[in-house]
Amino acid sequence: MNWKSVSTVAWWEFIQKVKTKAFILSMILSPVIMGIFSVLPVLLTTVSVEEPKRILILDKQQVIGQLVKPSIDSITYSGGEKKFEVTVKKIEPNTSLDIKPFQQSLLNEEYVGMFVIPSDIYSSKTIEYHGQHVSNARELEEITDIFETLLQDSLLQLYGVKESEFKAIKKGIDLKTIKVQKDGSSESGSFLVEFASVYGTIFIILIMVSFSGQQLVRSLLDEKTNRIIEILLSSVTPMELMSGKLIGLGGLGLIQASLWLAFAWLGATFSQVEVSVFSSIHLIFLYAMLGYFLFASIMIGLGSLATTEQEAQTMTGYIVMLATLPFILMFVIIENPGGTITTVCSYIPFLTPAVMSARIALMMPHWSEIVISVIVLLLSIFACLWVSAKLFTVGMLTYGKRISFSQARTIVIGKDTKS
Amino acid sequence: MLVISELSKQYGTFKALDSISFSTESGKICGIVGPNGAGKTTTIRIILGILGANSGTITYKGNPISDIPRSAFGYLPEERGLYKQSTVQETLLYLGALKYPDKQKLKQQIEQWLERFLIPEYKHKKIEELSKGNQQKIQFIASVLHDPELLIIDEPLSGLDPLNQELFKDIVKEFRTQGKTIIFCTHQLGIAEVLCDSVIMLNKGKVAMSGSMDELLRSGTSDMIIEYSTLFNQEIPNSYRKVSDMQWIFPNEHASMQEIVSKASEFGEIHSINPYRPTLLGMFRQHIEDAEETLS
Repeated sequence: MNWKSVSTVAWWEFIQKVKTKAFILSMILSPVIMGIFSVLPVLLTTVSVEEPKRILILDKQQVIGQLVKPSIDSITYSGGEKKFEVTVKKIEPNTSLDIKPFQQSLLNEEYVGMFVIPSDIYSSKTIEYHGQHVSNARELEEITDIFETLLQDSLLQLYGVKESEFKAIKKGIDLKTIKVQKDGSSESGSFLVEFASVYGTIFIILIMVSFSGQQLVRSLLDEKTNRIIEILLSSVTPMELMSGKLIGLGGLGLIQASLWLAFAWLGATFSQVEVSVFSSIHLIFLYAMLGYFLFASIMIGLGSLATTEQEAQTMTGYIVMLATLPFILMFVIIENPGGTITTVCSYIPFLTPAVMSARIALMMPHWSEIVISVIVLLLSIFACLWVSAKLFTVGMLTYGKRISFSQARTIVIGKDTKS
Repeated sequence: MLVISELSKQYGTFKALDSISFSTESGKICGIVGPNGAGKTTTIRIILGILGANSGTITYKGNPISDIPRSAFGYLPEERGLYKQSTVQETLLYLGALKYPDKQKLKQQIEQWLERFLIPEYKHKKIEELSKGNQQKIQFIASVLHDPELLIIDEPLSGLDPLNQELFKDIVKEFRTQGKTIIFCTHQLGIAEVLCDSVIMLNKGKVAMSGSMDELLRSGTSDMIIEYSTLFNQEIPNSYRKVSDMQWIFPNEHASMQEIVSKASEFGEIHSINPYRPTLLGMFRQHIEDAEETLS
């Protein structure tokens, strides 16, 4: 392999894409969009855009309803707007309640929800909620908390327990988590930080695969469509061309990932959160790059068979879906980073980059595991490149005609690499 | 010398090349002609190492073609295409750098070639801003920028105006003078006649005809072409070659002019008699007809 040719192709691919408006915009806009996606839903639930929600309380216990009303009425959005407006109706405890008319009032949208307090609430500790939908879990929790507190206070009075005593009894245990490192040091840890670290590392690999991979396939399709591939293949071997493209566009993904990591590091520094993953960032980058090369080496083979932009997008879509698989395993990895499932997944090539990165972020695996997983990845990359190189020449020189699966199979198992 | 021996290539059950052989020397232009699907592009792709052959050998200066560095080749494909969003200089520098490492020298070469093609002002223009003809010039420059020994040009003149066609022809002739080996693929048989030193005519993956252009065009030049004004009912024998319904070629076969006229008069009233000047097109038609007759 002529590395001069490889570096020429790599530099061309890199420089042609890095100066495009699309890349510059994606560098800035993607983190902003991601930020909006994570902040906006939370923001929307705390901001009032409507009138206060009318709540009906049917109180067979006769007292509780009136007691909770001021507390529920006082719940506000972050801007100070009133969230609920409560109406309490006392129901005779010994009469059977005809719920139908009240349910009708819900259907007529006179109220958004209705609580039914039974007469035996102190013993049953159960209240009913009726509504056209019951998906407003956060709001229901807020109201239930008020009922709970009130019941507790009443029961404390009933049993003659002082509130301060009760608080002392009720106070839970604060679990302070200390993460012991293999180098002998220790640091305080938190689930949220660990979760964010794992999520972040898997996300970086996904971004590299999806962004650079799509650029890669688009570049192939352009060269195939405008026929410049004929000149390129008369100048360099398919392997040199493929390697150059992989390296050039990998560099592009690396720049993007680095920038995002820099944002994450700045965020962590400003918020004074210790994130252990930054100390192993070189390994994360190694797995991210190997992951990119693995998925991209498949994309380059399949992409060379595409005849239209739509076909290319469908093909890359499937590969990106493959790259998202580790998200399913995220909680298994977090709960038991050294467990059997996690360890096995560490050696399944499509999962290795994300699983190993996540493990490194949580609990540094033994160096032998790192070495073996890197070897597994390297072998898989070479195998995928070998298959892709076979498909590449034929695929790239076949214009306007779709190559069938059986033809592709013949090309791959055939002896002649330049079929 | 480029020597191609018994070259065969099969795509599935389709025989794209069926044991073709030919050779060409340095300082010569070898034309590869033939209809669409004859196997011209496949031959070129195998010579360039883009495709592999099922059997046969190719040697250049006595060495297997696979041992020759790709920088020795220059290739202008029939399918035109460049990076539309890039500038002329960027594109030429990239394509040149794949075969020639000296960037400064490449820049000088780019300047010289743009001057030669009378488009120096387009150096910093985007490819998409150029006319089709000028894009073709850029693609040609890309194929010769690294000063290749073996130049393969596929339909270099298609889509060019007559003046630019002349310019391209002059440049190709200059390369011949410089001792380069040139393979010139074309459908335009008339251009091949005037430009090529030798010709390989391919049809359905086989060599239909080959040889030096002079020899081919001289063969049969003593035959006569007879044009009739009216034909008698008598059928003209197959030994006389039909050009059209009213035009027939009568072979000389050492007969005198009087004997030819006397024989030709048996089949109709003669309008004119002229010496026959063979053309590649005529030869190709004849080959097709002969092949069809053999099949039937």
